[in-house]
Amino acid sequence: MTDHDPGEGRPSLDEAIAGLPRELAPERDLWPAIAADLQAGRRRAWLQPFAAAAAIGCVAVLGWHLLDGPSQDEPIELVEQPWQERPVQALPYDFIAVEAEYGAAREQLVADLDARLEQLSPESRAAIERSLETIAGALVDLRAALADEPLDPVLRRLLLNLHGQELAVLAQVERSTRVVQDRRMEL
Amino acid sequence: MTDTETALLEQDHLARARNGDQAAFAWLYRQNVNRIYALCLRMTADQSVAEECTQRAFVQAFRRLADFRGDSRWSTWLHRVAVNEVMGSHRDTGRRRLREVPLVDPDLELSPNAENPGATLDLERAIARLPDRARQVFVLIAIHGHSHEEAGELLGVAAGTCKAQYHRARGLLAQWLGVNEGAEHD
Repeated sequence: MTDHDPGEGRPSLDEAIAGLPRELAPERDLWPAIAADLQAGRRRAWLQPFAAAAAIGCVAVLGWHLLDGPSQDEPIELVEQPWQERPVQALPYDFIAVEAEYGAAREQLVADLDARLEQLSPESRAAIERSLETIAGALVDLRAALADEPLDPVLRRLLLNLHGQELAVLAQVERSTRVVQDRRMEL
Repeated sequence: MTDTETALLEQDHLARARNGDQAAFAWLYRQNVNRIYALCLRMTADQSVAEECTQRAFVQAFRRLADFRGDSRWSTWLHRVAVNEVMGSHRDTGRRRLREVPLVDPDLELSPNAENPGATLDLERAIARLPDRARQVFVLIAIHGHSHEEAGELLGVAAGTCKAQYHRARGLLAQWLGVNEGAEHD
C-alpha cells in the first residue's frame, strides 16, 4: 500500500479496455494476396496428377536403370528438378518453337522405339511403357488445360517438364539399348 | 441490418463460397477482416506478422470451409482459425522480435494521461509491450471475452496458466498506465 494511489481518480483498467475498438483495418488491402493464394491452391490441387505423372516417369526409369540397365556405374543423366521447385515465371522463349523442337526430338527417339523395347526384359519394358503411357495421358490433359489458359506460366512450365520427362525416358531407352547392342557386338 | 439478416446473408455467402464462388468468399472477407486483423495485430503486436496471419487465416478458412459444420457463427469459427494461425506463426517461425519485458520496463515511454481518460492509444501500446504469452491471454480474455478455459484451449495451455498470465498482464498494464486495476475476471 502506498501513500498515494497512482490510479486515484483515473478510470479502471476495465473501463480503458472497454474503450478499445474491436475492429482495426489493415493498412493495405489483404484480399489480392489472399485471392492469389486461393487461385494457386486450386491450381496446385488439379495439377497434382500431372506432377505425379512426371515423378512416376522419373522414378520408373531410374528404377529400371538400376535393375536392368547396361551398367550400374554408368552415370544417370535423368536428373530433372521437380516442377514445383522451379520459380513460376513467364517463359523467356517462344513457346511454339519449343513445342516444335520437342516434336522433332521425340520423333527421332520413337522411330525405332519398339525395336529397342524388344531388347529389354519384360519387366523393364513394362515399366517403360507404363511410364510413357502415364506421361502421355498427363500431356493430353495438360494440353487441354492449356487450351483454356494458354498463357498460364505454371501450365507452360509443367508442359515443358513433361516433355523433358518423356524425352529423358526415350533417350534413356535409346542410350541403354545402344550400349547393350555394342556389348553384343563386342562379344 | 439486423443480426438475423446478417446471419442469413452470411449463410448464403457461405453456401456459395463452398461451391467455389470466390466472390462470395470475398464478401465474407470484407465482413470479417477488420475484426480478424485486430485480433491478429493485438496478439502478435507486429503489423507485418498480423497481416500475414490474417491472410493465412482466410486462406485456411476457405480451404476448410467443408469442415465448418455450422454449430456456431462462421465468424466465431474464423476467429479460432485466426488464433491457430497466430500460434502457428509464433511456433513455426520463431518470430520473437518482441522480447519478454521485465516487470518494470525501463524503456517504456508510457505515462498516465489524466486528460485522456480512455487512454486508448496508451493501452494499445502497453498491450503490445506485454510479454508474448501474457499478451495473447489478455487479448483473448479481456478484449474478446473468452473464459480462461477457452483461452487455454485456444492457446494450448492449462486454464491455470491462463489465469496466472492474465493477472500478470493486468498488473503490468495497470502499473504502466497508472490506472486502477479494477475488478478482475476469474
